[in-house]
Amino acid sequence: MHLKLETHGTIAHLIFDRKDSSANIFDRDVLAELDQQLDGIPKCSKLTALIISSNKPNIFIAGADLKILSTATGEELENLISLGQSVFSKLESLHITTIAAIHGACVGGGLELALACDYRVVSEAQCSRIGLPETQLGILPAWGGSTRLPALIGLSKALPLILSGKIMKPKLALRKGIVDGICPQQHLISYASSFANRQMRQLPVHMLEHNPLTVSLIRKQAQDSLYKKTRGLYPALNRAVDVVCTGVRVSKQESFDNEREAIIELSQAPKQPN
Amino acid sequence: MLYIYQCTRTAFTKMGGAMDHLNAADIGKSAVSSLLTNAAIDPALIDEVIMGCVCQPADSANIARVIALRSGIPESVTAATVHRNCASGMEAITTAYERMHADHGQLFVVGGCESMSNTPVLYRKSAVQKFAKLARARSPLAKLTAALQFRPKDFNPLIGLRLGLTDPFTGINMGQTAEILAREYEISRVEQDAFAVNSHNKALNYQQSLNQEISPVYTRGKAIDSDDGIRADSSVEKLANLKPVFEKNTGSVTAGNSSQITDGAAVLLVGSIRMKELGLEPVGRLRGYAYAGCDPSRMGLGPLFAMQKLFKETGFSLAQADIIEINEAFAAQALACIKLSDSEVLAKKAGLDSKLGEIPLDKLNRRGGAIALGHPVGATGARLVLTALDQLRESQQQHALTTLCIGGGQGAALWIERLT
Repeated sequence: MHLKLETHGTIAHLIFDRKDSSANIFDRDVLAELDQQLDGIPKCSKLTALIISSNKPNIFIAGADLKILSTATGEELENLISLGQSVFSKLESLHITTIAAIHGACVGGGLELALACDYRVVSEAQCSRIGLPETQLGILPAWGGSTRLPALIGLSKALPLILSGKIMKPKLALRKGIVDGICPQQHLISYASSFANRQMRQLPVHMLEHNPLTVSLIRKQAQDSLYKKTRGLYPALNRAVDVVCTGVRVSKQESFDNEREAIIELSQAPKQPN
Repeated sequence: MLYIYQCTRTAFTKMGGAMDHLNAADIGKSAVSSLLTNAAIDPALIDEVIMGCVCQPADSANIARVIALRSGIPESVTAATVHRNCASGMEAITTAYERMHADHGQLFVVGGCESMSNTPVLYRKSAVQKFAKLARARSPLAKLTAALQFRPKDFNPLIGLRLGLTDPFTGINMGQTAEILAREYEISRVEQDAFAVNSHNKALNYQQSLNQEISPVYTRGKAIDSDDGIRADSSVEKLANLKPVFEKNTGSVTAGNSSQITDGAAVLLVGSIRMKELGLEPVGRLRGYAYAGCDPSRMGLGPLFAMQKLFKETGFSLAQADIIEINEAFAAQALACIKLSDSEVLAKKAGLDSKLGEIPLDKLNRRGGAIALGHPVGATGARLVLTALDQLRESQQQHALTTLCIGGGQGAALWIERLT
């Protein structure tokens, strides 16, 4: 049991608290358990919102279990990535408003989970950090991060964040539009609850950025500047440009498939952590 | 011992209000002139003028000297400006005490003045450098090139008042320090709003007494002779509609339950007992004082630390005080002091040795506090001593404790005794 589901009135509260560990990370067990918990929610008709938070002092969710990622064989990896994608999609398609209440590190898979929620609020504490550092490890965000981040904040802002793997402080994440609000840690859950009455989020259209012409311009520019920096030596970065830029023009499912294909290819190549 | 012979203050008026066109020196001058008129002494007998001022105006460096000369005090009398943030007015009083005990004078004009309406708005360094370049450019082409260097953000000014109310060490605003206290010691919005309404109501009830503290400022054919921040229509329901200022999403500190930003001055004539020879009659004396340091991000607890030190050094206790004046910088901060003072657990959590005792609400800020009257930072310390003395006179009681929190993490506490 790594998850706890509590219900307060019409608001469900899902708390990550990995057993016998100081950090919350995603492995097969946790994903399966999350899947199971999410299955139970539609049956409860009085619920209007779901808040996701962590019980660890300094960590929201630190991402996927890297040991498994680096040792898994092709098929195992494919299953793990597919499982993650389907669980996060299930979360995204819940009929109620979902809110990630983030205190502590929310990186990699942690942020991908948060991105699948409608709203994200974050505590102003020193330990709160937000980012997708996957490309720094020679892979790319493949649980929907490469698809959902650009859909939320636009390609021109999302691509540099994914390519640099920048870990942001709450204020910067707020400016970038990744989180919806900042508050002191003590008020985090009550502030998250104040989002419960909002409608589920309608994602912006980003017509100016996501039309074929702008996308190809952004892709070209990113590729050129990457080549200048890396001389084409870091395949993860090039694949990320490819997946992210293609992702904004195709359906979500197609983009997820691209993510999956890319991460499998990158993990099987000889390791080149940047 | 330092004896207090005379005291008076100007009305406290809201920023941008009745005294908007007067700078801190004008307001201070008006107060000192009134003080000298009331005292009816030869200004040449004064040994020094000591004034507190937090946002010292750029055109009145050493504002105490400017005030002294413009009030008709002779050139030979020295003047010094002191600064201890919100306690600058108290710092002026205790500096006089120290001067006197070092045999540097017997009679002092002390106090504080502030014009928060006139705190400067500043150019950024980037703009200043570009102005310098422009000034150095000689040929028309060089001038044009220099002028083209300017960018819109160069003209985005720095607000002096905001900078002044932010602690540079922790980088947080005074209001945020109050938010921290409200969170840590669970002081609710309703409690804060009720405290604020109470402050207005008290000031309203005692408006006549407050007016007796005031000497009018004559300007533009009018006399400004009463505080203008007091609201007769304040209610908890109305205050509940205000949005938090410092933590917009989840905060509880609003403009309504914080001290007002105000212009004003308060001054006292103090000196040794020998000054009775001049025909002056002392109204009170300073029995002891203490300044203490604390966490800058919880500066609102400063009064507790200062009181603890004062009680330890002088042997006085909270129970002996007939009148207690705690500056209401923020309702959350004042309430935190009241709450912690009477709770052993919370006092220890805050870092005090033990609890200090109950602060009875009927003795506290009887004429209202800075939430109703305003907090012209440099002058408030002196106002607290002045109002405490006047309350002692009115109620024929003996002892008053005046204390305030100081931005940057300090507290000040002065013990005042009435003389009959």
